[in-house]
Amino acid sequence: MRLTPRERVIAQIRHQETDYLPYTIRFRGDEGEQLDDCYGTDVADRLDAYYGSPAWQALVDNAIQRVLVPKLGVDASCGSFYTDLYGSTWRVDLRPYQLVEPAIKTPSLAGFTFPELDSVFTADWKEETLQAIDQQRDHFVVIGFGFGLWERTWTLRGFEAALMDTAAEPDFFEELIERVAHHQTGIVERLLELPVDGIMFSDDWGYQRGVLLGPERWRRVLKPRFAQMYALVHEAGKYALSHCCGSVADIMPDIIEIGLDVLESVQPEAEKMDPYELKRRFGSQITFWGGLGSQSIIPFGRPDEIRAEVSRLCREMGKGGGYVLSPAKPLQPETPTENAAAVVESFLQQAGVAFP
Amino acid sequence: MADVLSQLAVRLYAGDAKAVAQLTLAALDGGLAPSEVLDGGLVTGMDRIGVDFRNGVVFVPEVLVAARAMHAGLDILRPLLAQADVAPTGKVVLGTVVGDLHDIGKKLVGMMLEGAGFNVVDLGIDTPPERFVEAVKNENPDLVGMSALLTTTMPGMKRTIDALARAGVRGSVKIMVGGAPVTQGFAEKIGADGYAPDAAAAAELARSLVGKGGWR
Repeated sequence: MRLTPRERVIAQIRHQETDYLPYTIRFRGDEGEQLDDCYGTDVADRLDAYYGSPAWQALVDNAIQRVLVPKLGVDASCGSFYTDLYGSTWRVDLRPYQLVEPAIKTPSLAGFTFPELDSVFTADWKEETLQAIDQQRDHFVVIGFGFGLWERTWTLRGFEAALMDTAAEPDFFEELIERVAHHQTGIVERLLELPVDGIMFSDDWGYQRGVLLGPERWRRVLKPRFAQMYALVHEAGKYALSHCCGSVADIMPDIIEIGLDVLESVQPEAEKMDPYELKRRFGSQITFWGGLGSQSIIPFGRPDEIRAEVSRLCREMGKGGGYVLSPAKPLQPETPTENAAAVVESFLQQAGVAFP
Repeated sequence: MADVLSQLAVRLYAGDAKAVAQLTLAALDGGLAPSEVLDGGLVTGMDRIGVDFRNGVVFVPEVLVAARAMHAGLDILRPLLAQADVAPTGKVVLGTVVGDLHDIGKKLVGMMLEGAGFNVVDLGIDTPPERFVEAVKNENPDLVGMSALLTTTMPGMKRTIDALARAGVRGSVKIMVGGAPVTQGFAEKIGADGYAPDAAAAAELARSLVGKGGWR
């Protein structure tokens, strides 16, 4: 019997090989906060012209569908500046959004209150979200929010200030992150009430060269708190997934130890994030989602190189299960049309879809 | 006085801005020249942070805190260095290229360059080619450093190099580039003079590009 996309993802997470690899391709220029799957960007438009019609879009069937909680993020839909729910102000006319005025300006929580969750999770929100989830029947649905535990601390304090707080104001930072953890645990509890397959965390622990805060500090400050959140998710019978597009190779054993089911992005250009090496070392203990290079082969490679790399990912990463095929990032606007077409066609081809 | 300088380097490494300011003043009071305090104290401390950052002993938070401490000393030394007509290791104009709002990586490079004795003019983020041209004309730097974190904005580096060439000032500066998706191959392809994978390596590269190379 033919598997549904949802069943295919679950089989992969259970490290069972499937008829073909579940996959996702996204076309937006940057990580956003909207519901997933909104086509109509530059790359998708060019593909419409390339194929002579938008019919190709209906063939792309992302196995994992993300539903996001928009109010917890940054709204770039109007104007050049946006003040988020927590009181930090962002410049939103360019990517990435630039935090211009943090809500907490000195290392003190005096006078600061976290937003009430009832203002985010309204009855209307729940109804709309249930509808959005229902539309994704047969797909693996994850719900999540941008700015995880570490990221929320810096969006409250400013990036540089939060980084310095971790070293120079450890008591304040501990208090801040404990409060954020409490707040976000409340968010996760609400999300777990929904009929979704998994919770999508998003917290960039790594940058291009390694673990941003250093592995030891990550272990001390973030690891125990994520262990608790993943445990909550598992108690609810759901999967824990996390986005992280930088290098986390140095903390992979810890990430596995605290029970993350799926690591998303696997950006191969980041230090020590070669997907094949990760597969060799950790592949039996975690599922990787991503791995096709958004900084190299997709924008700068040739279409035949892209096809060959997709074949290799399917063959080697898919061995024994534990893999969801995807570019590390949404296709960026500068992607040559032929390269975008090579991604789409090779993904569909491995799924046995006749194209076009 | 050598003891004050070694203390200065140690306190800078530890990120203790207050002690760095005090020790800088003490060193000057003790009769050391501003350039001796800079080289023997601040630059030495930042060199150690740079080496340990590259070796994975310290991380971005420690570098930022050390740089803040360095500035506590530099703020005192700068006017004195200017008065004494002490030439910096070199002068660098830095910026994140047009369309790109990423700041921290380029700032870290600026801090490490200051820690290597460079005079740094930071043009900020979203810097169009013409602003680089203008700054090269006005500031007469030895080096231009460009940063990009997006593959989408990387072409801004080539456009800037072309603009510098058109303005007739390309030959007067060395150009270094960096940022997550940037590679040595890309740097060569666009005609930059150097690429560095991280901030500490950028300071090393800058020293070698102005002929004062290498870690000491």
